[in-house]
Amino acid sequence: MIQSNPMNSNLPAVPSEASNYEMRYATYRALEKLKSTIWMDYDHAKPTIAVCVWDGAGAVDSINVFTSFESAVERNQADIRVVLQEIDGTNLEDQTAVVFLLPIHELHTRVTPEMTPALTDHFIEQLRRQEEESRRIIRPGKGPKAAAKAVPTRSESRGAGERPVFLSGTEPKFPFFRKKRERKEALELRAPVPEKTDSPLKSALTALSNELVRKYPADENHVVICTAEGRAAAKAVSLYTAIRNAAENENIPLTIHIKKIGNGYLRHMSPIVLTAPTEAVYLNVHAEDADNIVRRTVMRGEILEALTFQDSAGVTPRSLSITELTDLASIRPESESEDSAPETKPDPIALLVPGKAVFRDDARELLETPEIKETILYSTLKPENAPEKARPSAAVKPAETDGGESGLMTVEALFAVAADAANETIESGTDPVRAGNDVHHAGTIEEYDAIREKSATVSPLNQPQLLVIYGTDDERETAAAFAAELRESSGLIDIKISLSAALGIPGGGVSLRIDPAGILYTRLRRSDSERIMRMTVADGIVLPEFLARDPRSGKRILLYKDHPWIRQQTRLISADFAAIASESLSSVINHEGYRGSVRALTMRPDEILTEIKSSRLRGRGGAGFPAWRKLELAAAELAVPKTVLAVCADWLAEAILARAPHLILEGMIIAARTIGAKKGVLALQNCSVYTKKICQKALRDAAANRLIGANILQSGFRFDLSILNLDGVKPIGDESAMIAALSAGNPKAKTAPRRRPPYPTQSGINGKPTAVFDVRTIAALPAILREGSAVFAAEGTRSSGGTFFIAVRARGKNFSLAEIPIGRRLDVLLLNSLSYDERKRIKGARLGNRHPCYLSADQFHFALDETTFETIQSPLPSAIEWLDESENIPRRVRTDLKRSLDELDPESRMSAFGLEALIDRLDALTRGEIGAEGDLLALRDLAEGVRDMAQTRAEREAVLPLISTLAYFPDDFRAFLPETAPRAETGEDAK
Amino acid sequence: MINLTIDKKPLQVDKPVMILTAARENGFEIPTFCDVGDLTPDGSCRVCVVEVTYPDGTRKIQPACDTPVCDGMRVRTATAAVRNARKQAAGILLSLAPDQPKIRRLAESLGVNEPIFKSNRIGPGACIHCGICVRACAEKSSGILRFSGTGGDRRLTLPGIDPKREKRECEVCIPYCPTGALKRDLGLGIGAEKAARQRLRNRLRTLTRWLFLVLSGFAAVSTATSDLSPSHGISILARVNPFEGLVILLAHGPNRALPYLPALAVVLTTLILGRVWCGWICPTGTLLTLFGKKGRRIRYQGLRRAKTILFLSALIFALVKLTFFLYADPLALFTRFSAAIRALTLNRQPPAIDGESILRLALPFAALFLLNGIERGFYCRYLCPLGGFLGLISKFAFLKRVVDRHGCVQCGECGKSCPTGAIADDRNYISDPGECVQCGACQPDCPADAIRFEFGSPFRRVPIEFDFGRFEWIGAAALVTLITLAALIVTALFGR
Repeated sequence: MIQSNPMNSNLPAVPSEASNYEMRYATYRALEKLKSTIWMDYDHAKPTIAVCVWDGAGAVDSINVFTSFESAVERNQADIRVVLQEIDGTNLEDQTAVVFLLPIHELHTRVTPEMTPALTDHFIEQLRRQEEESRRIIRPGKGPKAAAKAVPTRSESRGAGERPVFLSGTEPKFPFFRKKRERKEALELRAPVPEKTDSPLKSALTALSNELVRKYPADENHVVICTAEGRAAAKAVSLYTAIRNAAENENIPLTIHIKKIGNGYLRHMSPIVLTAPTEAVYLNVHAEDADNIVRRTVMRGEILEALTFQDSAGVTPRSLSITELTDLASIRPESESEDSAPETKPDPIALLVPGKAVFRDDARELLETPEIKETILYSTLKPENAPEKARPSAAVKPAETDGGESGLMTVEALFAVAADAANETIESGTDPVRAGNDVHHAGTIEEYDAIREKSATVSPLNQPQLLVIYGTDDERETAAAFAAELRESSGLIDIKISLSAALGIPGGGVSLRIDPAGILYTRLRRSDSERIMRMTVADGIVLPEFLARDPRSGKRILLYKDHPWIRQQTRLISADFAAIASESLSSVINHEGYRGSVRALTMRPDEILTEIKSSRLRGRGGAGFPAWRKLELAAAELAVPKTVLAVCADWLAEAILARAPHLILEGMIIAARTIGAKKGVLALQNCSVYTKKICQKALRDAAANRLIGANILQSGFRFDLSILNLDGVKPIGDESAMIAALSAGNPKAKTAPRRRPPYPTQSGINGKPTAVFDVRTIAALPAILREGSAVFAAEGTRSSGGTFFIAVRARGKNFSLAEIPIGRRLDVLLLNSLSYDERKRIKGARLGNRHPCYLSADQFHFALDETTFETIQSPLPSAIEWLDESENIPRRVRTDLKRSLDELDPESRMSAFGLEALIDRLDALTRGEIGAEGDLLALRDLAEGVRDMAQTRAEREAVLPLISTLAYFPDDFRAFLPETAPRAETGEDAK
Repeated sequence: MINLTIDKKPLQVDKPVMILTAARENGFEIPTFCDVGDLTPDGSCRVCVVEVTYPDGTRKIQPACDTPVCDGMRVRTATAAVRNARKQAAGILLSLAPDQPKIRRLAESLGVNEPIFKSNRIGPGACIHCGICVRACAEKSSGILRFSGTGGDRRLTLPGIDPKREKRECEVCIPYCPTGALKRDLGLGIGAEKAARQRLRNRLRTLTRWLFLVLSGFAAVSTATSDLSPSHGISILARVNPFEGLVILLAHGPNRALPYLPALAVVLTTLILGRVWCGWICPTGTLLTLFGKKGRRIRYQGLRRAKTILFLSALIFALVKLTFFLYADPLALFTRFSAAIRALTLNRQPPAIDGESILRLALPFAALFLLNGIERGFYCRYLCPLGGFLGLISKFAFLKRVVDRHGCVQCGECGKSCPTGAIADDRNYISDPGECVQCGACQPDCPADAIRFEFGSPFRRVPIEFDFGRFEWIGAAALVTLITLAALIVTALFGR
């Protein structure tokens, strides 16, 4: 192990054959580039050994080198940081392991574990010499505290770093001609690497951290919370409290600053947390992250990867966590067969064996605690150096706003800003359900508590269970089959397996959530069930090949809640969806299901109305009518019986309904209670058999537990719900048609758009007041009542509160569902859903489902809220598809128009003829029959005329695709004009 | 009292009427297409759209014909968006039926001159799915007519009725169709019964005319052979000739005119039924309208006044005892043969074929007959003095041809089928009662059933095409004088 030859020279042992080794020019280039990258980006304050690692065959070697370096450094008791540096390994495949010594800037290639002690000694020797030199030259002042602890001055290290030397391996000697030829070859063989440019967000973040963090002295702990005004401020308040509490708990001195930011990008990332002296930048920090920030970042200088900005454009050189390290090691080249799976081979994957940790009762907390994580999960790896004790110089104190830092705010100011946004600060610790109690309805609460107890015994909360997660409806079949397969292979193991209500993971296919820890497996096939049962469920081994990968950083993600897609959502309505089995009532009840309706039953209707009004909820079906207004109108009517009609006519609405039928039932009870309705109808249009079945089952379950029906929960309130299938009613989603169909006596009523007023709230089913809501609107009501309207209104905009469901997809991929707050900007959503390279190719977005509108990429400053989209006469989109450069916009528009034409109400002839005319004109355009720019204008005039002459909203929106594309993608249409081509040619000729 | 603003002009309306009504009452122009007076508006054509701002601030583009006014409403009738919407609606309608004059005129008034797209539904009488007939059927009749099917297969149907078998008496919807497609092209058989009846009547008319021709021929021959009126040589036929009677009356006094008393019956008939004589009875007319182009070919139709001038000149000449205008009389033309027949039967030898007899007997008739090559019934239209006389009377007839201007789709079928070219294309297909011979040939082909022959007051206002204006009277008088002078000079030169 230890090299035999004495280490007298400043060079470590060089393999003898290395002198004859000639490096490829491409490799040389890659190394040069690596040198400059690391030199530019590294923190030079501390001596560091950076072991470069990349995905691929050499990763295991690199990790071995890394561990042996760590042990060597520890043996020498040197204050040297050993980090793993993730790099792009192109052209360096045969050079493993590459080691970079900082600040002396030596690059070693082909390092083996045997060489590490010698290299470490050499490094320490170099450091010491540097230090002596500096002392000699500058001033014999403060010497190093310990002999082994070398702290080189900054200026020197930079001077020395200008000429890095190759040590291991050889200096490449290239004959001149050969070098030229090689370069040519390299250029020909490899496609030109696109210039990596920094994304604007990245540069904004860098600027911010430069501006703030560098100011603070390195021996004090600082945390800066950057927040924008409005709802983010409310989050910042809770975050501030949480961080302060955490710091007090750990008893470390910590100064917390608050800064207001105005940058458009950063607004939507706020609250942003910057820490010093560890320069971490965390985005979208929630209050629950405070503990981790204090314990891991402040106290131990770790970077929490899940919170950082991850962007492939940034190529952030950063140290890897141990999780990633083992993940990387697990990646093998495809040549190796799958039989070399972890259980057969004792390689680093075995490090992930967590014992039975997954299924311990306290597994969730266990996985959270960093110490446990290391000791239990990764006990074979040597833990990192003991965490630096926090410097006890300053006591925990609230933000110091004086001292000339103009950008910082006082806590009072922050509170004021937050209060301004949400009208009332969120009271933590008070249960809104209990708070809104009426003495007379104590029985209802007791009844509900009894049901909760019962369901807690039926299916205890922290019991192991497997929840199969699916994305789109197409995957549900597969998911169900997979669940069945799991059940079959479970054999004697007693574990609950069911379909989860989670909204799905993009690209995750059929996924599995393993409770209670919340571990997420993705991309599962039926053949995997056996292995998951045997390894993970029976033996408690986490199988890394099933773990999801962060599409941007390539990192593996262990827990469901750490998935970036989940993190970027604001889950008010779907907070517990992942842990709920959608078919099981007890699972719903365990997660506070029906609590909102219990609260509604104990409140007076006007109180509920006030609550909903202050939540600023708007209808999610498209028109965006304020929900409270509709409820108020219906409640004010005297005629009885009133009806609540929940409509599910959209695939997105169906996706929500199929996942959380009980949520809809609960919401309908709340709405019924508000307006005093005794009857409810859940109208399903174009829904799958599964949805119908699961709704019926939910209704049966709820009725059996007296959660619906006569005398709900002993409250004396009666609400009868029926689920009706209205597939035959055309046009789909038209409420007048539905009401006409539901009215008894004339089932074949005229389906033409009825003249309004009277609105359905005055005269609906059978001429009685009817409150018609989309299922998605209904789904928001329980959250409002359960959490309180302030929590709901804290999200969203001034005119429209809360969150909404949206389906996002890129070209060629499936839709993935997410819950995001109203008012999120499109570019932020884009940022969160695609990687930088993908984003660069995006030229626009198709927003909406049935009647989409198209926006080009330069319009991505649009915020997703009703008022913004009103300006382009579009409803709030419920689906977004990113369009890349290869998209043929006119053809897409034609498809949209054709489908609208087919779905149109047959009675509205003018709109139908208008659509026919538009399709005819579009065809003429694509055939090249339209010859002039003026004809495009005529096309636009025609489209706008058809829009303006429309009778109903559906007709009006049917033309939206064409109008928006003509406005935002004019060049796609101009490309068909015959003149433009010759004009462009002549322009080039003129050049 | 409802206060509203139309184009920034504050108005007050008593009842919640529709915007269109309120606007029209106050003198605002809003174009309409499917708004038919006596039907409930349903705003389906979107031509009458206006921009409406409600008191709560919502602004919409709504059809004026079925949006009721409400307090505080602001209406703008001519914003850019509104104009564009109207224009595009008209353009779409025009593209669906590019040949329909009614739609073309609407489109042109809104600035669209050409179809904006190629519809695959275009036919000679394309249904544009305006739905007016359905509304008419629902409100005025059984409501059986309705649209069925979706998309491109959507068409008007009469559910449960086999068009080939059953008889349908109701034709309420036909006049409402703006394109005439309902009767012509839809294959529903609506209006077919009535058209069949009218065709039958037309055949009856033809039969009657030939019958009268035969009878007249018989009368002429019998007059010639049996010498029924040896004294004056007037035939039975001539006795019913009011023109001849009038001329004789003026020239020779009442005693000589007494045999012409039966002609009063013709005058009376004309006063009641119009020029039935010309259309149904006149044997010369039957012969002279045998062939030739129907409709109008000569551009200057003012020529029709020539027959009136001839008639008036004849009267003036009669006052000076000159009756040679009777040569131009149609019955005289007809009975001129009788002289030849008489010669044939009495003298047992054919009449001498000399220049005079050809000139007197055959040539005028042949010439008039050949003039049909220009227009059918050229003589009847432009020259017949009897026709001029009856035309003057029939301007005050009780029975007149009336065209329903709302129903008329201006297809021009009636003008093509009119044997006397009495129907003016450029005047909404009306006809001068002085020119119409009440034949009814125009009726069965009318796709909108807009043509009716109605009894009414003789002095009711009917559009008259060939009346004499002030200057035309002067011109006519001058012409009559000139003709008189010329005739006098000719008589002076050759009479001796």
